[in-house]
This record gives sequence, C-alpha cells and structure tokens, in this order.
Amino acid sequence: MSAHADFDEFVAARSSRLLRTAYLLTRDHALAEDLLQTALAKAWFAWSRIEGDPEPYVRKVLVNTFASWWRRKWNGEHAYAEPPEPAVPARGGPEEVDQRQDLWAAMGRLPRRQRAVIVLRYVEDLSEAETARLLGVSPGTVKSQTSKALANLRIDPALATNDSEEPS
Amino acid sequence: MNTLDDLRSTLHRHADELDDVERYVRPVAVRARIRVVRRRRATVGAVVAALVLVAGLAGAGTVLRGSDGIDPADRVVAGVTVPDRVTAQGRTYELESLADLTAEETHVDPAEHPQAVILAARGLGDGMATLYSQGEPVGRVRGDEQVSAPIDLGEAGVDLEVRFDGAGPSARAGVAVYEATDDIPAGMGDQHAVFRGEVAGATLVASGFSSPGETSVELQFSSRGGRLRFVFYCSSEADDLLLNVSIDGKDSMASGCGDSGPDAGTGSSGTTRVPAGEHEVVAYLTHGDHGPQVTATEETVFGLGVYDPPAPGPRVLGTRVESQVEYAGRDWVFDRVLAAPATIDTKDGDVLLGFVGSGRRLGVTWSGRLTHGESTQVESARTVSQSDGGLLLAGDRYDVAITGGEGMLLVYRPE
Repeated sequence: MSAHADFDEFVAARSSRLLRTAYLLTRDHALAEDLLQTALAKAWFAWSRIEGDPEPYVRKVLVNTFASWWRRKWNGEHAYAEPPEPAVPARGGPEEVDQRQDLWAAMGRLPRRQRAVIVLRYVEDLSEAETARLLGVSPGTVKSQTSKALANLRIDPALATNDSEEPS
Repeated sequence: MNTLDDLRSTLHRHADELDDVERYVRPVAVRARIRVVRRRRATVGAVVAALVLVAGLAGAGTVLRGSDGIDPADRVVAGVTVPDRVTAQGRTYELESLADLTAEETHVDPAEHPQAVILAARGLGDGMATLYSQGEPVGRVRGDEQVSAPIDLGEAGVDLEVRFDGAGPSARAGVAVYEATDDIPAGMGDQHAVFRGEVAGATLVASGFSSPGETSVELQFSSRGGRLRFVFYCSSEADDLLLNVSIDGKDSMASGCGDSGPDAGTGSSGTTRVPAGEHEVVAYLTHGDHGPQVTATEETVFGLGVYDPPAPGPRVLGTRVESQVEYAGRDWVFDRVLAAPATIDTKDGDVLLGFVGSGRRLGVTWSGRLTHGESTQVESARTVSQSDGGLLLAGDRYDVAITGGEGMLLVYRPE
C-alpha cells in the first residue's frame, strides 16, 4: 500500500479519536476540526518516516500545536462562561448536569498547557512520563502542571462552593 | 469539583457526545491543506527542479515535499549534496527547499517556524561565493569548502542572492532552506517559551514561568557559590511593567517588561555573585518602580531562568568580557582583545566582532575588500558595556574602528 493510501486510510479510520482530543482541548467543534486538520497536514509531510503506529505522532503534533502556537493561530478563542457549543443532551439529574457544565466551563479557564496535561493524563490515560515525552517537558513539569491545574479547578468560582472531598 | 472520577466522566461524556460529522470529508479537506502547503514550498522548489534537470542528475525533477526520507540525489543544489536536517542551538531544522542562485536571486517565503539556510557552492577554484540576505552579507563559502555553517533567517521571509569573487565560469552556488520542527529544545518551558538547558556555555540551574492568576514565580536551588546569570522573561502589551528579582529576600535586579521571544535563555539578564548554599529567588511584576504588583494573565506572562555561566573572559576596561556568546545561530568563543582601530584578517575563518567601551553612541564599523558594515549603536555614556558588533566573513581583511565613544575590540571565533 502506498504511503498516500495509508495516510488516507488513517485519516478515515482514526481521526475521530483525535478529534475527541482536539475538542477537549479547544472546547469548540469548529476549532477542534481546524486543529485536527492542521495536525494531519503537518503529519503528512513526515508520514514516511513515522515508525509504527502514527497516532501518537499525530497526537503529539496536535497537542503541541494547540499548546505552543496559541498566540499566532489560536488567539481567537475565549473562555466562555457557558460552552459555545449547543448544550449537550442532559444525562443524570439537574444537579449533576449543572456540575458537569461548571466543570466543563472551568476547564476552559485553565491555561492551555494545564488543560492539555489534564486531557492527556485523565482522558487519554497517559502516564506522567508519556505525557512529558509528548509535550517535550520534564516529568516534574507535568507533575507540577497537573497539580496546578487541579488546584485551579478546585478554586474555580463555578466549582469552589461545592463542599466535597479532595481530588485524589 | 468532587473527584477525579467526576473530572474524567465529565470530559468523556463531552467527548462521547461529539458527533464527528466531518469524518467522511476530512481526508479531502486535509488533502486540500496539503496542496496549499506544497504550492507554497514549490514556489522556491520549482527553481531547483529546473536546474537539476539541466545538470542531468539522478532524481532530477523531484520537487521536495519536506525532509522525510529525501533521497540524497534529491538533496543536491549547485552540485553539492546538503543534509536533510541540521541543528542549531537546541533546535532541529528540516530541509524545506533548494534554490540554485548561480544566476538569479530567490525569495524565501515567511514560515510558521524559524528558518535557517546553508550556502552551497562548487567549482569556486581559489574564489569564493558570498550569500546576501536582504542585501546584507551573511555567509560565505571559499575554495572547496562546499557548504557554510547554518545561517539563521528568522521567520519573516527574505530575499537571497549570491555574489562570486575570483571564481571561474563553472562556479555554481545555491541555498538549502530549512525550517525548525515542532520539537522543543531541551530545557524548561511552557507554552510561551523555553529556557534552554545550555546557552552560550551557561547551564540552566532553575527556571519558571508564571501561570495566569499568579503574582510571582518562585525558584529554589542550591549553588556552589559564585556568579550566576539571571535571565528575564516578560511578555506583555502593557508598557509600564517592571520585572523584579529578589534573591534570598533582597531585591537585587529589575528589567523592563517587553516582548520576550520563545528562546527565553537569550533574553536580557543580570549577573551577580551568590554564596554557596540553598537560595530562594522570587520574580514578580510591578507597575513601574515600586508600583503595585501585577497578576499574570494569558497575555501578561513573566518568568526567570537562572544560569551558571562559564568562566568569564579577561577584564577589559574594568569589565569582565563574556568568554562565550551566541550570535546568528552559532556559538562563539573569546579569542583576543584588540585596540582600535585595527586590521582583522579572516583568512582562518569567520570572526564575530565585539566591542567594549563607553560613549553616547558607541559602535563599531568594518570595511573589507568585499563587504563592509557597522554595528548597532549603544548608548553607554557613563558606564562600560559590552556588545556584539557584527560578523566578519572569512577570506577578507577588514579595517575596524570604534565610533561614537572609546573602547576596545573583542574578537570571537566559532566554537
């Protein structure tokens, strides 16, 4: 199979998973699609030298594009008090839905690198070392960014009033 | 927030409820983006293709599509095979395009990442080829050297041309243009910038950047005692901010807040001695001198890097000169001090000219047989300061003079 057909097959079969990551980072469907296509286009130029599964490589490009270039490319984004997306269909009781929306909005107020660390650690289930490799930082930085991100979420005005157990 | 499980489930639910309606058209959309990028690259690459065909080399006609596995035959410009990637000061650059400049100029388009260029030349005999960027001489190849060191081009796009001197009619010259990859240089960074692990021979001891909502960056480190360099990072649109540094509870230095670049370790700095032991350094922003403290935001970001510098050079006019410096993407080591005016012969290779002195508009000028230039002027009427002057390309003799004040010349050689 040629590299081009291989690439097309990858985009068709695997890009939905990457779109999830992009969406959790950007919190906006259109921005997520833009970010994903940017990452895929970059990956195409390196396609023939990617060894093994290309998905980690594309995810690395995607996350670093989001985290590193925000001043140039992604500065149109704002942290909305309410999600800019249509509200997701409710599951669970009203209180649970409110809390999810608050948490989702609070995620949007995290600095980008902290948001990326949260998504990689708790949605992609990457270890500190894997997250560090992907972001090009030390494991210690991942640890401190994770800690700061969780602290920021705890003190976020939308969430701080919840008396609750500490995240562990 | 209740637990990490709440966080996980919330994020998973939002992701699960995303309807990927674009997935069937995405391959087409990505292809369209790739075509746009390739067209941009081909603007320069097409020149190469035509010239390689004339030369009848294997692989002729191939327009580069990046550095992924480029066959050596497709990495030939002006008869010289160039590398598909180069490294400079912690960054990796991959080959983007080639252009033969034997008979015409070329334009390098702006890029998203910094770009670098290598001058390649063949058939020079005893002559030389000099590369000019925006009319300024930036690199030279002599005799059978074939390639220059990588030359930093920045990101803005430039016009490049080559001029020959003493070369025969068969001489050819061209450029290989490289663009930095997404790889982050080794060091400590965040989304804004990176303090590289080593800058001009100085090793990183500690560093940190502000996060939105923070009013200070605090660093703890131990030192064997001696000189340490404190490098400021500050990026803000506000024009009255001052980045202050306190060392072990004592305000020690401050710098105006500007628009620091992503290579944080090369920012403005102050050097001071610290005793052996544990130290705590706090960097914080204020409105003006002694003004109220400023809270970091996404737009106002500050940081600090602490470096252990190499042993300093000699004392000149009462000030210690740097023993190693970075300039134009290259590392340079101190060679000697000269009284001005002076003649500098660069038969052994490129020279970085520096100067130290004082004056209202202190600077340096140089004039060689092939090229001439002048440094940026420094206002240093009351104190002695050191500054980089400019690059004296190899293979010439330059008359060099201090202007706008009094000082001494510093000569640096490539490391």
